[in-house]
Amino acid sequence: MISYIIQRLLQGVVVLFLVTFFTFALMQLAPGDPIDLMVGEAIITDEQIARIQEKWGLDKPWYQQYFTWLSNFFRGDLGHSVVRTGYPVSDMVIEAMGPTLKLNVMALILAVILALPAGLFAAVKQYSVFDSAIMVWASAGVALPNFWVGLMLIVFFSRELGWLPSYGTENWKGWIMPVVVLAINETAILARLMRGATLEVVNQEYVTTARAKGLAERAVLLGHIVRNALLPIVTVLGLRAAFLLSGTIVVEYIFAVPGIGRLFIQSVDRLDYQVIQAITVMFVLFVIVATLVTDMLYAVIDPRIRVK
Amino acid sequence: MSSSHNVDVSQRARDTAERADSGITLSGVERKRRSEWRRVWDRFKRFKPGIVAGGFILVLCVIGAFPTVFEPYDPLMPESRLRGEGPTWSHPLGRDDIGRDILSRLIRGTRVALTVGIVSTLISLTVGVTVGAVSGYFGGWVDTILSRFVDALMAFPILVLLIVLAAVLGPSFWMTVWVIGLTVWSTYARVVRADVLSVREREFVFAARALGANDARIIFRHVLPNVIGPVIVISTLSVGSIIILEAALSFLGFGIQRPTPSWGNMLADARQNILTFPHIAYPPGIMIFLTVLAFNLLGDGLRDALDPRQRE
Repeated sequence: MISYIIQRLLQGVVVLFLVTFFTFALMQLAPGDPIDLMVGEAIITDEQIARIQEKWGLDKPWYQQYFTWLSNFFRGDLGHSVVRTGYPVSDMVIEAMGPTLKLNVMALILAVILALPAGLFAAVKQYSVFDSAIMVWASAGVALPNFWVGLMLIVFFSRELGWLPSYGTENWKGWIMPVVVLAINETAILARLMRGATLEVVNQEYVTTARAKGLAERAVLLGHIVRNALLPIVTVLGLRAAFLLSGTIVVEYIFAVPGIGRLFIQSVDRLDYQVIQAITVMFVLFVIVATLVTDMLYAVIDPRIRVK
Repeated sequence: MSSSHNVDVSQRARDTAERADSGITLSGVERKRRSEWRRVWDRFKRFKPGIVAGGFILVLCVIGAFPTVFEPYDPLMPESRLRGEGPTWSHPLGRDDIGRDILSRLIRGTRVALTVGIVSTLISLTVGVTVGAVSGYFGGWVDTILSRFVDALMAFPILVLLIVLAAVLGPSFWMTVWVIGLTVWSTYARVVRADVLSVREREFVFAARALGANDARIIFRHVLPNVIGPVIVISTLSVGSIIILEAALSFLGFGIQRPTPSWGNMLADARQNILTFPHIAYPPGIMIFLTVLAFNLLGDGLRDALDPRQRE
C-alpha cells in the first residue's frame, strides 16, 4: 500500500516535469522576442528590461530558463499580464477561479444527481422501456456538441420564451443554462457507466445471498448493489471532474462567464503568453492531482487493491 | 481484450509458425482469414443501428468526396440584400448572416469534417499503435519512458492543448489536422501496449521466435494482427470525437478559418446572430450530432462484431 502510494507519487512528479516542460517549450515556439512578449506595448526603460532579463534568466541557456520559470511558478509568481499591463497573472487567475469552480461543481452535482439513479434503475430493470430510454440517451448524449446545445437553449429560453438571459451571470438565472450545458455530456457518460457497473454487481453471489437470507429488496439495493457499483464510479468521477474543465472553456465562452475558460480564450486571442502558460499548467496540475487522488482513494476504499 | 481473437490458439500457433518458416501455405492462411471476416460480418449484421449508421456514413463520404456535384449554389458567394433570409423553396435551409446559401455551406463542411476526422485518425492511429507496440513488446526502460510520456500527454485536457498549439503555430486547415492527429493518440498507445503485453507471452510468438523470426517480423506478423480488433473500434469511435473537437476548435476561432465553411465556424457565425437569425444555428449542429452519433454506433457495432466478449 505505502509502496504503491510512493510509486504513484513519483510517477506524478515525473509527469509534472514533463508537462511543465512541454508547456514551456511550446511557448518558446511562439514567434517574437521574449521581452516583447512579456511587456507588449508598454514603454519601459533599459533598466526595467535588464531587471526582467535577470528575473527570468533570459541571458542564460534554455534549461536554466526553464528551472527559473518553474521555481517562480511554484512560488506563486506567474509573471505579469501584457494585456492588463503590469497586472500579476496570479491575481487574474485567482479572480477567475471563483466562477469556474462554482460552474463546475454545480454541473458535476447536477450530472451525478441525474445520472447515477438513472443508470442504477436502468440496470435493475434491465430491458425495460426505461432501460432502453437511458441507453438511447447514453448514445445520443455523448454525440451532442455542448456548444450547439448552448445555442439551442439560448434560442428557446432567451429568444422565444424570454425566461433566461442569453449571457452573463449577474443573477442566479444566468447560471442555469451554463450549468445544464456543462452537465449534459456528463450525464450521458455517467448514466452508461453506472448502468454497466450495476449490471456487473447484480448477478454476484453476495447479492443472491443477501436476497436468500431474506433481506428487504431496499436493503439489498442500497447495502449491496449500490455500494459496490459505486466503486468504479468513484475513480471515473475524479477524472471526469478534471475533464469537465475542458468543457468549461466552451461554456464560459458562449455564456460570458467570467472564469478561467474565458480568461484563457481572451489571452490566446491577444497572445498574452504569461497568462496562457499559467492557465495551461494549472489545468494540467489539476488533472494530475485529480488522477493521483482518485487512484489513492480507490486503493483506500477497495480492499482488493489494498491487498495487492 | 484480444483473447477472443485467438479462439484456437494452438491452431493459430501452427499457422503462424508455418508462415514464419519459409513454407508459407498461403491458400490455407487465406481460407482461414476469409472465414474469420465472414463471421465478423455476420455478427455485425445483427446490430441494426450499426448498419444504418454505416449507410449514413457512406452517403456522407460520397457527398464529402464530390461536394461540388451536390452544392446547389456557391457556398462562398454572399448576397448582401438577402442576409439571414429564412428557408425558401430555392434555399431550403435559408441564407446565413451575409446571405450565403446554408445548404451549400453544409455540404462543403461535410468534406472538411470528414477529412479532418479521418486523416487525423490515421495520423493518431499510426503514432499510437507504434508507441504502444514498441512499449509493450520491449518493456523495460523503453516502456517506462514511453509510458510517462503518454501519461504526460493524457494530463493535458485536449482542447486546451489544441488551442495553445493553434495559437502558437497559427491556425490553418492542415495545421488543425496534424495538431489533432498528433495529440489524440494516447488511447491507442495504452490499449495496444496492454494487448501486446499479453500477446507476446503466447505460444505462437514463442514458436515464431524459435523458428528464427526477428523482432520486427514478430511485431508486424504475429503481435499486431492480434490487436487489430480493438484498434479498429477505437479509431471508428475516435473519428466521431475528432469531428466534435474540430467543430469546437473552429467554433472558438482556432480551427478551420473563414471563408472555408466548417460546421464549427458556421456555428460561430450563428452564435453572433443567434437572437436575430436562429435558423443559421440549426443545420450545422444537427449534422455534427448525426455524424458523431453514426460513427459511435458504427463503433459499437464493430465492437460487438470483433470482440463479442466486450458486449454490454
